[in-house]
Amino acid sequence: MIKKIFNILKKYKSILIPALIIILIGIIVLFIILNSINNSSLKTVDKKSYSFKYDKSWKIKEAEEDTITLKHNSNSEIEIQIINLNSEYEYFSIDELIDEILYNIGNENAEYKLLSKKTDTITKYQFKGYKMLYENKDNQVMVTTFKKSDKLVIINYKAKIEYFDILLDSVHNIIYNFNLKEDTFSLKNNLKLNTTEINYSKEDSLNKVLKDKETYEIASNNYYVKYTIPSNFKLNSLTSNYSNFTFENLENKDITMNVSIMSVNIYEYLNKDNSLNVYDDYKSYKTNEDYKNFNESLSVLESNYDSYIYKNSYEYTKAIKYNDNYEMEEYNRKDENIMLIYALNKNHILTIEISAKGIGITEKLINMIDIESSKNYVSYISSDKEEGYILSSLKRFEDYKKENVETINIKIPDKYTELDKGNNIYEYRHYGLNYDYDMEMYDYEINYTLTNSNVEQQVKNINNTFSTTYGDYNYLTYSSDLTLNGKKFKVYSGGYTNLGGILFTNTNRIRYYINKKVLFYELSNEGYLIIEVNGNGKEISDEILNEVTNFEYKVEKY
Amino acid sequence: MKKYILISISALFLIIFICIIYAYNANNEFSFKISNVTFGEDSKKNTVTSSFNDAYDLSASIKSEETDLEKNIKQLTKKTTYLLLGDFNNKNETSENYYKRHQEYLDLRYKPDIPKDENTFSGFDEDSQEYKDDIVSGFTVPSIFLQLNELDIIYNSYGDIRITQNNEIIISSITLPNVKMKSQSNDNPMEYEMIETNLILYYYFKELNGEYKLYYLFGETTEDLNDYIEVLENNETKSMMAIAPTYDSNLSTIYNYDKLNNLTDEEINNIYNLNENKIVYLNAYYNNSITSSANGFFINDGLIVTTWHFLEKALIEAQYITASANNGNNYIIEGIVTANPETDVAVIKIENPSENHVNLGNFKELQVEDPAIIISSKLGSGLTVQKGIITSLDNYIQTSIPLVESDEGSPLFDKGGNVIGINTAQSTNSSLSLATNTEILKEIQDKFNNIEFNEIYAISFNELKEKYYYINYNDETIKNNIPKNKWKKYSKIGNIEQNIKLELIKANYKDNVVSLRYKNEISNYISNMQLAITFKKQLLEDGYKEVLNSSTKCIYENEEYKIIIMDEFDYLIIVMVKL
Repeated sequence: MIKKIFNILKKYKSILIPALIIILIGIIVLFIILNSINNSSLKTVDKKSYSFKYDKSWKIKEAEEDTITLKHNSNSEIEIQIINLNSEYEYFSIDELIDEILYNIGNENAEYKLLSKKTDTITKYQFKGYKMLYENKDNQVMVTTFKKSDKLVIINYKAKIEYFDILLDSVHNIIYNFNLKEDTFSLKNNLKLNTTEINYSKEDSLNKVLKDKETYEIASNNYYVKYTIPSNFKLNSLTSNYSNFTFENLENKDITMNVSIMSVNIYEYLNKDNSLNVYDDYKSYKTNEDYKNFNESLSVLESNYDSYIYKNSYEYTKAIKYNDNYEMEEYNRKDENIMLIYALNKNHILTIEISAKGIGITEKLINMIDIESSKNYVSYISSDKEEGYILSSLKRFEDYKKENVETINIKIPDKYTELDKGNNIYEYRHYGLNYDYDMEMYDYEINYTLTNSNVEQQVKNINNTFSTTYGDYNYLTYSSDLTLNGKKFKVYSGGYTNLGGILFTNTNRIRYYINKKVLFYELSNEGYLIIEVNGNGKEISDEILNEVTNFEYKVEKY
Repeated sequence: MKKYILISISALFLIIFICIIYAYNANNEFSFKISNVTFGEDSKKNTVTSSFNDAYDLSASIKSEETDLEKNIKQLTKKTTYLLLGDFNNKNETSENYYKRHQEYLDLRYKPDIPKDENTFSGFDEDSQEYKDDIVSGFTVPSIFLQLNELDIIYNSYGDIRITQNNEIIISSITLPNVKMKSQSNDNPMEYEMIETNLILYYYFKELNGEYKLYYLFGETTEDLNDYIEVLENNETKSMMAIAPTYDSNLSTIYNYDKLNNLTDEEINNIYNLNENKIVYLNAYYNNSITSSANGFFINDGLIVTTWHFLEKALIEAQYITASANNGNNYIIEGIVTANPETDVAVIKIENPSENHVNLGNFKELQVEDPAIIISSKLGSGLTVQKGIITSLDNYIQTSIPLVESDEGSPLFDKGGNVIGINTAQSTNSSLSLATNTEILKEIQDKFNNIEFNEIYAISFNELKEKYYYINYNDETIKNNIPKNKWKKYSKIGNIEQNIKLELIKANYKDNVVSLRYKNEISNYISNMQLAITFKKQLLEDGYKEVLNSSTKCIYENEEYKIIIMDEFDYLIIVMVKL
């Protein structure tokens, strides 16, 4: 039997072999087709004005800057059009344009009927747009449209009715990944932002003493940043919104570092025409004869953040030193200033300014500086509430050694409202009581501050803030020693007449007298907690003084 | 014989092969094209409106023509909004683009030439108006930019833009509906949370060297506005929202409710009794389920006026519409007479003329702060009366009466019980209503007063729908598109026939892929994905792995099949792929 079959096969081999080959080719073709329908690996198209991803079942037929056509094996098609709107329509919303888009489509495609129209968010960037579904007897078409600044995008997916749903998932993926790029804005041309290499000092003496790194935190202008710097830098005072460091053990030389967060766009800070910019502090050095060989340069800094590094160097001809006879004499000192500028987001920057006198700043030192993390926040005040009280705290270092931290835990009734929440405040808290809608201000305002200076100096500082032009005023004078909530206070009283309302308007330009009581509470290591109570046209009662002095003071290891 | 059989088989394979190659290489161009999208021509007229009798055309003389100045200020208002907040949905703006936008925005600022005076500290004449103007604009224009940009406001569309002139200042207000912005979290005061609110921005433009420049601006959220209206209604202090204007502005949110307080309950009752049966409730149905609802009212005998927005939605989604009045009368609709998408009105004709229609008021006699009344049916049974005051009179009438979606098409009455406007869809779900003004209603009434009722031509709902929106489901058994032996296998997946209760309107099988499209008639109430819950649950029970689960798409997979469930338009689409 087997032999018989073998003979037949042998007899007809001239026909069977081609038949088998044809069958094999057919299977391969089918395999390719099936594979292409289900293939999920993605290809990317990245052009100047757009980018998108598509799976291999689609082929690019055309990919110009304003038109893209993709074709599927099933003959289905995706056409993407990017239309430049003229200035009249640039600021229109898609809602204002959709009727006209529909009209244009309807006019051109009379045999297609609109099955459905809905508003939706388009692409992963979630632009508000519209989706329309059209049909004729053979085909279905989904038109997806959205607008981004002066560009209108129309994505037009056409398929035979039987394929439409099958390919919909892959079409969704193409639309989801479609990215219309922003017009490239030439910073170089607009800002004349010329960047060059930074020439770092090769100061070995500095490199040798650089040790490990230490992490610090800073929080202001609605940002919180953790950053690392060489541990040789010692913090001068614990202020959470501005940090000032000095490099330890540099004989006859001096390096200081200032860290701050500013609410400004990085390119505005790099723009010489802007009122606040990186060059401004050193502008006068260029024309001042005391500073010779002034050089400055800007370079891109490698970081996870958009960042730049600015450097200047010069010879200061009026530096003073003592000679061997202990007499002062002038000499030429080589100084350098470096500013690291990190864009935390589009309108916040972190700046680290290093000023070196008589010593160069090395690349090794700069490389030890980095941002560990950053966070946008509403308020750095982490207030808790407890049985009708707001709990909050003030902090400061007891001394420069940074070993102990002093904490004031305030417990104020929750009828008070916490103000100035946008600032970061270890050092300062501000509360209001009873908002007066007519006057547009609180009846009472209470400020808590920590200070290192003495009572006399603080009284002088506060007296300097008094208005003397609107009416009666009485500078602060010592009034009494008071014991409130078991704690002793020195109390100063005074006040002045103020003018309310908004400048150059007639709104509530009312004169009122601010009664002021300032309470000084002595801390364990030089310094005071100052509680400033203002009665805006109101007398300050003992009850209020009792309420605002309910706090706990403690000194702990940092 | 065997030889011929083999030759035949080979030929058959060859033919199949050629067919496959042909099928996949055929270059059948689709006739659908979008080749010429243009704006600004006379293209706002929707294609559907060309079905109506030309003589009923309402496109002319409805809106008072905008002056060039109004057009410019509207354009400037949009540009200012763009430069102030960034583009729509401005989530990930780069630092470079923020810089560019900020610079362009600062160029909008009113910067007058200040007379010099060497005797002053500043070197300028500090008593001059220019000096004071420069300080006001120099302070507010940049600082409001920074404040608003700190809130990361995301907006998607423009609402109403209103323009009023006050001496040399033009004040333009723009409403941005449903913006998302940062707010302090209640749980953790340090954290942000995103809230959704309406934002109204007020721009003060002042002319400088022939160009309008941004002099002053401020913004408020709906919450502020609602609080403020509440304060006013309770006769509390009125100074809360008075933010710095040195000018008296018609746009000011300080309204006087005295005229409303003088409106008696008796007067309101009279208006209600007189008009109760002239107002109808319109429902659009698909397979006996309501897809959308609106109000309407008899403007002429047998003619109901409602919104085009409602009608367009019904033409797309529904099979028919019904009209009923508060007295229980149900009217048979003959068809649609005319419509004007631009002003959001449509006129419907009923079969038998009812001798009952509203009286129209006089737009020119209206004043801001006049009382206004809305009578509408919110749920289809019974009428609700709401009162408020007119807060703005323009091409539209804005009142301080909040509306819900089904209020669209309802009449706005003046104190005398005359209809002064029809509430549009534009302002529903907001604290302010917006009504098309009396002029368009007058035009409709005048036009059809002169035509015998029987001679008014109306195109039937079905004819209009078929012409432009008709969904032609085949009567053939849809599942026949899938080979029976295949369906036997695929139908077992997630026990789909039992677990999806929707009407199957399309089914296809291609190359081991089955696609099923179901129509969700109640998509306004229950989402497509919710209707697939049992099916999804069954897939999980059957050992499928959930690969993706979003509100619009879910993907499940096992070794043999991949199941894609999609929510698209009003359809639930299920694609089953054999791997």
